[in-house]
Amino acid sequence: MSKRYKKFFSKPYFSILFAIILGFFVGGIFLYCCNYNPIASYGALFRGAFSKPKYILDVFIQSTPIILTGLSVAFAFKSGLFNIGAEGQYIMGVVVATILGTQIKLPPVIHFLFILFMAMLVSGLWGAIAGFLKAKFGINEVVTSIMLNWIAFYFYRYILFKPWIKVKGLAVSKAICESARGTLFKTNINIGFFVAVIAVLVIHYLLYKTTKGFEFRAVGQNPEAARFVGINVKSNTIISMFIAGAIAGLSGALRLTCSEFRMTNLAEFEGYGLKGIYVALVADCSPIGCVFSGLFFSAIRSGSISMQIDLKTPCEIINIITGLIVFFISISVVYRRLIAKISKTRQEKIHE
Amino acid sequence: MNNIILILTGTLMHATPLLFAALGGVISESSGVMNIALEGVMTFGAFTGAAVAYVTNNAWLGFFMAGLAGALLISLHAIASITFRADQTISGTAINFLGPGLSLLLAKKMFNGSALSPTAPKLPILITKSLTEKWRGTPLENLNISVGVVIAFALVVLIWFLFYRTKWGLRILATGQHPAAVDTLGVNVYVMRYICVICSGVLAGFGGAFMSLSVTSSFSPSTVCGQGFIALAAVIFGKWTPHGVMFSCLLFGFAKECTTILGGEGAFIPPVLLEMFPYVLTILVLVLFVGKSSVPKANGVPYLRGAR
Repeated sequence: MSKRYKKFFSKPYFSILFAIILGFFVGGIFLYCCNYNPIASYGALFRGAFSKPKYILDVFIQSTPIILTGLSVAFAFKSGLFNIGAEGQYIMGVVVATILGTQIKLPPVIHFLFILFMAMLVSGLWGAIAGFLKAKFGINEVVTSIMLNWIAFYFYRYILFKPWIKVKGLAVSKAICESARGTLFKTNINIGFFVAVIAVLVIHYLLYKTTKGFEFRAVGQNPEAARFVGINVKSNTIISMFIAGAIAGLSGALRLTCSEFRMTNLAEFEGYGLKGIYVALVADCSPIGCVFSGLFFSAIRSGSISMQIDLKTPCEIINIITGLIVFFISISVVYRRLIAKISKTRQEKIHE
Repeated sequence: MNNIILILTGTLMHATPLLFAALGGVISESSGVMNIALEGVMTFGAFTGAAVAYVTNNAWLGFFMAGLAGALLISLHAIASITFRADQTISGTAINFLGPGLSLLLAKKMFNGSALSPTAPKLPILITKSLTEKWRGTPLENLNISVGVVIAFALVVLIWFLFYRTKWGLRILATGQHPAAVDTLGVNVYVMRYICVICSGVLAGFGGAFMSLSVTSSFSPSTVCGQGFIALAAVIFGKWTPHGVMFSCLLFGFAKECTTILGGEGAFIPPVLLEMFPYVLTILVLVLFVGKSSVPKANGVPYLRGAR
């Protein structure tokens, strides 16, 4: 195997690409076993995502929240934390955006930016609770985040049923003012995606070009070593949970100000936080990768809906494929090792 | 008196599914394999339990098939994390997507496009009809405890005995603390971990089946609804011991029951806020009593024979 190929195959994106292909392949076997036509289903999936400009636009709009929750999870992973609490932080962002969007009056652009800022602040603090409890009492952030998710969920329902925010007779809140919205020219085209990309670039800069970012990554790689060179692991834990929370809150606020405009009654979690986990994993925890993996998952998600309508193939197959992709990523070490082995034996043969 | 019986029954009902899954978590994590996959396995167990019980009209068969289904699903996690030394958080997360996805896909296939299963038979309750007749009028007639509850608590005793009084238990615990040392003494670390992870899948499957065959009598996408994650919290909160986990599940079940009792008509706290109570309580208890958690040292660390 020539050097160039070897370099290509040992890159992380190769193993991720491979995992995605395997995921679709095994998912196809599943569909076949359940008497659905896999090739036709995948065709409908692709058409549903890309065949019309409207669909492509929709892919971009729907990708915004998961790019950001993915970024939140990826950032936390980089600093050695598992932010399973992105769901709750997202919800807090939605709640703050709704309250500020309906209750106060400000000039157009300022109102929108003020909402984003406050949502990030509140959600950041919400995330920082888990970070604080970990730093101060050594309580696993996974457990506290899960509890905080549920608390946020019930808080959302509590606020939704307050008479000053609810529409009479309906289980939805009032819509936010025009001045608070992030849509352009009164269409559903919105600036959410661009804000998400800016956030991604900021986090990329923070992680790889600043001293603080280096500290975060050092704590993530080896907390003992980080402590040894004088990095304050505890305060870094709190700060990185704050940042992760703020990003997830931004996700919620953008979703509300750009495409939903009002809170609706939730029976269970919307799942944007959980989706963030696989977005982050498929991006190999790289901030810029989150944009692409967010778009990818958004595409198969919106494609799956038309697949279900056209061919009656249940859209749950997407969850299975996603699970398979994550599974194949988790064992990606195996094929990296396999490739290393193959190229090694080839080289030995050449030497002989 | 009547209220006490009602609270007791409710507490046990809420605690049991958590207890099954959390005991599974204890077994797997004691052997050193982190098990974040409980949620997905529970969902799959809940579906299998309801589906098999509905088709065969036999709740027990459904319950045991749910255990088997849980074992099958979690064996993916076992292969990834033990043989392929994958990141256990990632492979566990994969199971959490696969479990619900598979359940819903199969449910739609089986029940003509509906994600809800038809009503399945329930697991029998402990106190037979004739006894209830005898106790009519006394508070005891509300003592409505499923056999599943008894199984769960019997398992606590069994696992306690296994862990602290037998050679096998010692080996499991040692595998989670220092796998290399166990390996040098001739115990196969991989086999131990496989057994433990698969057992945890069986138990989490039981937990899910208890939800769909005893607490409710059908499967819906929201049957499990985060309980696997709460079980995960109970494992940490119970300090990785079977008895500790039992108390934490009971506490959680009690808190959950309090929300139902206190949240009735004319309650002075809004019911929605009251529903937060179990979760707030868990955090508070963790802060006040647990402190530094006593994780099995090798938990989440893949074992490679011969590595230093």
